[in-house]
Amino acid sequence: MELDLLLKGFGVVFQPSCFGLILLGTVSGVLIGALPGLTATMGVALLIPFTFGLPVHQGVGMLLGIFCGAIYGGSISAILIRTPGTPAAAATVLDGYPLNQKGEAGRALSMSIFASFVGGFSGALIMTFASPQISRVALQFSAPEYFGLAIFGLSIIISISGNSIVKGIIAGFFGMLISTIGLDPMAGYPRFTFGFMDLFEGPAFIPTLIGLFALSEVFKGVEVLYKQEAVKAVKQQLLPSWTDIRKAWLTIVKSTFIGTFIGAVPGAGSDISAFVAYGEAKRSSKHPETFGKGEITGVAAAEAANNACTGGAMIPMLSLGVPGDAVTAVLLGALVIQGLQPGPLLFKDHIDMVYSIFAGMMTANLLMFLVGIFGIRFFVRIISIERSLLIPIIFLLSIVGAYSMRNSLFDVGLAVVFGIIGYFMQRYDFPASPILLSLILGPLAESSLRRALIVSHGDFTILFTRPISLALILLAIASLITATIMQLKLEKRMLAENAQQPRSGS
Amino acid sequence: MKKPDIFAGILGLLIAVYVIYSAYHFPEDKVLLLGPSFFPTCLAGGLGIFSLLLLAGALRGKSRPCTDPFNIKDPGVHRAIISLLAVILYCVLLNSLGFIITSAVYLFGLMYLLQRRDYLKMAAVSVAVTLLIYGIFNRLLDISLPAGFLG
Amino acid sequence: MKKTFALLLICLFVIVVAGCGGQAEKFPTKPVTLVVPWAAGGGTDAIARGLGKAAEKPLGQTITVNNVTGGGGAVGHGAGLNAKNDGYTVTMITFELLSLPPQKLIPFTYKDYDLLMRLNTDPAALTVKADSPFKTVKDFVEYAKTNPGKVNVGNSGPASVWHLAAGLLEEKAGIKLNHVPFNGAAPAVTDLVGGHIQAVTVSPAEVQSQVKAGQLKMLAIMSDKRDPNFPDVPTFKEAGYDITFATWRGLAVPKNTPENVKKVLADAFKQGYDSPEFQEFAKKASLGLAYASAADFKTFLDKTAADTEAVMKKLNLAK
Repeated sequence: MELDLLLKGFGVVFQPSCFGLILLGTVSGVLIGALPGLTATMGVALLIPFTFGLPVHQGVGMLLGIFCGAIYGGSISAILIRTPGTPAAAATVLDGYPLNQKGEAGRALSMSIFASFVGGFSGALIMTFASPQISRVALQFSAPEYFGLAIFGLSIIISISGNSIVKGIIAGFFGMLISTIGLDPMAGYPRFTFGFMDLFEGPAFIPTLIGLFALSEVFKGVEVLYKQEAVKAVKQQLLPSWTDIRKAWLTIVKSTFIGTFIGAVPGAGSDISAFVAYGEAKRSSKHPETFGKGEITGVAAAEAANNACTGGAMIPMLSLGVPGDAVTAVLLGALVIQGLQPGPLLFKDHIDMVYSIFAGMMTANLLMFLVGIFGIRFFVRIISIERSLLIPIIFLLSIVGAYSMRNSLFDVGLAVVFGIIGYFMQRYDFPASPILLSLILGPLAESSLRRALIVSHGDFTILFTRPISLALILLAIASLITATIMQLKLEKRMLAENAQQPRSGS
Repeated sequence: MKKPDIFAGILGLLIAVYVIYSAYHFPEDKVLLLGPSFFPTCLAGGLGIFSLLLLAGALRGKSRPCTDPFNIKDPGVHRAIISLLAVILYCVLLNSLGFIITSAVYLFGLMYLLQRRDYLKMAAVSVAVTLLIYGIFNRLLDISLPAGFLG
Repeated sequence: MKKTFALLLICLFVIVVAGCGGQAEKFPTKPVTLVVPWAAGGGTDAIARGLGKAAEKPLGQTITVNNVTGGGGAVGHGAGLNAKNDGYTVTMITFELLSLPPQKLIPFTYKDYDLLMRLNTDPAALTVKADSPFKTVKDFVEYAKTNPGKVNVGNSGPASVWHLAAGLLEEKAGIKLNHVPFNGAAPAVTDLVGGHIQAVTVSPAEVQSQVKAGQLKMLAIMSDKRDPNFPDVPTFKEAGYDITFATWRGLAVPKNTPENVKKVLADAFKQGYDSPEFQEFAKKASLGLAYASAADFKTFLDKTAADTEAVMKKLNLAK
C-alpha cells in the first residue's frame, strides 16, 4: 500500500515539468544557501510568489528543492570563506574551514555533499515510513525537554574551547549574555538594548555570525598578508575517499538520526541539530582533540545532521500541521495558500499529495547530490583566486549578507562591531565558536527553563521527573565531565610541549 | 600573553559588574517566578568567576606565551587598524553615498592595503565586483541595497 | 488700499499656485513601496504581497513589498512612519502598533499615521484538547474559578495579541489563569496537542487543522458572529460573556500626506481588495477579511486601543 502510493508519487514527480522545477529549485537553493545572508527560509519565502500560478505538486516540489539545496549550500561558503551561508552550516565552519586552510578544501567539500546527501535522503526516507511514530514522540517534547536539549548542546562548549578552557568558557558566557539582549522572551521587558529598537529581537544572528567569522578573517588577512598565495592545487575529488567514508560512516548514520529527530521536534531546527550531532561525534570519537582543527568527521556530522533535519522538520508539519522549524513554517503557509491544510487530515484527504511530497523530497536530495558533485569543481575555484582579490570580495559579501537579512544598515554596523570583537578575540586566543553555540542555544535554554517553571508553577522537579528531560540532563552532565577532563589533559600536554620548545613570536 | 590576559580579565569583570548592576534594576515579575534578570545575573556571575580565574592565572605568570604579540610598530598591525577604522567610515558613508560608490572605493583601498599595485586591474575589479553583487541582490533577489544620492 | 490689494493679490496667487501644484502633480509617477514590519513568509507578508499584486493594475504602478523587520514590529512601523509623506511609502500596520506604546517601547502610536483602510481582522478563539473535561466556556470558567491560577493557557509571546486575549478573558470572566508565553502560536498549539498545557487563545486559522482532525476542540470565539468555517462554535457573547477581541491589519501613510494622494492610494488598494484574485487568495489563506474605511478604522482603533491598554495594565505589561 505504502510502496504503491510512493511509486505513484514518483510518477508525478518524474513528469518532466515537475522534475525540471525541482531541479531549478535545487540549483537556486544551493546558490542561495551559499550566498551569505540568504537563508533557506528567505529563499523559500522569496520564491513562494512564483509558485502561485503552478499546479500544487510542481510548486511544492520547487520549494522542497530550494529547502534541501539551501541547507547544503550553506556548507560551501562555510568551508571556503568561513562564513556559514545559512545558520544551519554554523557547525560546519568549525572543521570545514580548518580543512580548507590545510589545503584540503576539496576533501571537505566532497565529504560535505556526501554527508548532506546521505543525511538528507535518509531523513526523507524516515519521514516517508515513520512520520506518525516520530510525531508521537515529538509531542512528548515540552519546555523541560527543550531545556535538557539546550543544556546538552551547550555542554560541548568546553570541548570546542580550543587551547584554553577558561577562555572558552568566558567566550561561552559572553555569547550567552549577548543572546539575552533584546526583549525578554517571557515578560517582554527590554534588556540591554541601549534604546535601539533594532535590538529588541536581540542582535540578529546572521550579521553577528558574519562579523565574528568572516569580517574578523578579513581584518586578519589584511594584517598577516598570507605569504603563500592562494592554494594553487586543490586536490579535486568528486566523492570522499574510501578511507574518509569508512572513518565517518558511523558518525553519519548517528547524525542522521539525531538530525531527523531534532528536526521533528518543533522549536529546534537544523542549526541546533548540527551542533548536537557535532558534539555527539566529538564526545564519542577516539580522537576528540582533532575536532576543531580540521577533522573530516566533524564536517560529516554537521552536514549529515542539518540535512537530515529537513526531512525531520517536514514530519510534524505534514502530520500535525505544526512546522518543525522556520523553513517549514513558511512552507506550511505555501501549502495553505495552495489550498492544502497540512495536519492529520492531509493524510486522510490528500494521501496522494503527501506521497508526492515524500517522493519530491527524495528527488530533491538526489538532485542536490548531483548538483553538488558537479559543482565542486567550480566552488573550489573560489579559493584559487588570489587572496588580495578574494579578501575584498569576502568583505563585500559579508556586508551585503549582513544587510540583506533585514534590509538593515543597523545590522551592517552590528556585523562590523562583531568583526572587530572577533578580530581581537582571535588574536588573543579566545575561541569564537563557543559564542556561536551560545547564541543558538542560549535563548532556547532560557525560555524553556522559564516556561517549564511557569507551567509547573515554580516546581523545579519538573526538570528531573520527566524521563526524556532527565536523560538529556544526565547526558549533558556526563559530557561536561568527560570534556573537562579531556580538555585539561590536552592543555597540560600543550603546556609541556610549549615549555620544551618555546615558540617565538612572529 | 600576560598583558592581554590581564586586560581581558578586567574587561570581563567590568562587563559582569555592569550586567549584574543593570539586571538588578529590571522589574521583578511575581507571576513569572524567574524574572528577566535571572538569566543575565547567573551568566554574568559565571563570566565574572572565569574572568577572575583568567586574571589570577595571568598574575601568577601561568599564561601561555603569546604566539603573536600586538606590536604597535608592526606594519601588519597598522594595516589592520587602518582597515578597521576605514570600515567604520564605510558604514557611516554607506547610507548617504550609496552602496556602489562606497563599496567600490573601499574595495580599492582594501586591495591597496593588501599590497596590490596594479591600479587599473584593481579599479576594474572593484567596480565590477560591486556592480555584480549589487545586480544580483537588487535585481535578481529584490533586496534593495542603499542607493544613496544616486537613487 | 493699494498695499492691501497687492497683499490680497499675492495671497490669491499663492493659493492658486499651491492649489495647482497639489492637483497638477500626477500621482503616482514611480513605484510605490509597501513597508511590511514582519518577515517574508509570514501571514502579514502574505497579505501584503497578495494585495500589492492585486492593486498594481488600478494604481498603474508597481508596488514593491519591503520587509523591514525587527523589534517585534517596532522597526518597520517606525520606518513607515518616518518615510516622506509623499504617498510613495505605504505601511502595513498591525496590532502591535497598539501593544507596543503602552509598554513604552515605541514613542509613537497609530494616531501619528494617516490611516487608509483596515484590511482584515482575526478573532481569538479559546481552544482546548479534544478529550479535555471542558465542554463549554462555562465549564472552563467554573473550573478556573475554583482553581485560580491553575489552568495553563498558552499564547504566542509576552504582550502578544493572544496573550492579551487571554487577559481579557480573565478580566471579563473574573478568573485567574496561568499565562504561558511561547515563541509564536505554532509551538503553543503543539504543546496543547501534546497535552502539556490546557488551552490556547489563538486565532481559529492557527488551530483549524487540528480542530478539524479532532485533536483539539474550539470552545468559543471572541467575535460578533460565528466563523463560517466553524458554524458550530459559539461566540463568547452567545456563551454569556461579553468578549470580542481580534488582531487586525491595515494600511497607513505618514501624517499629512496630501488628500488627493491618499484618495488615489485608497481607491487603488480598495479595488485591489475587491478584485476576485485577492478575494480568492484570502479565502485560501483563511484570512478574515474585514474592510473598513479610514474613518471607521479610526473609530475601531480608538476602541481597541483603549481595551488593549486596559488589559495590559491588568497583566502588568503596561508601564
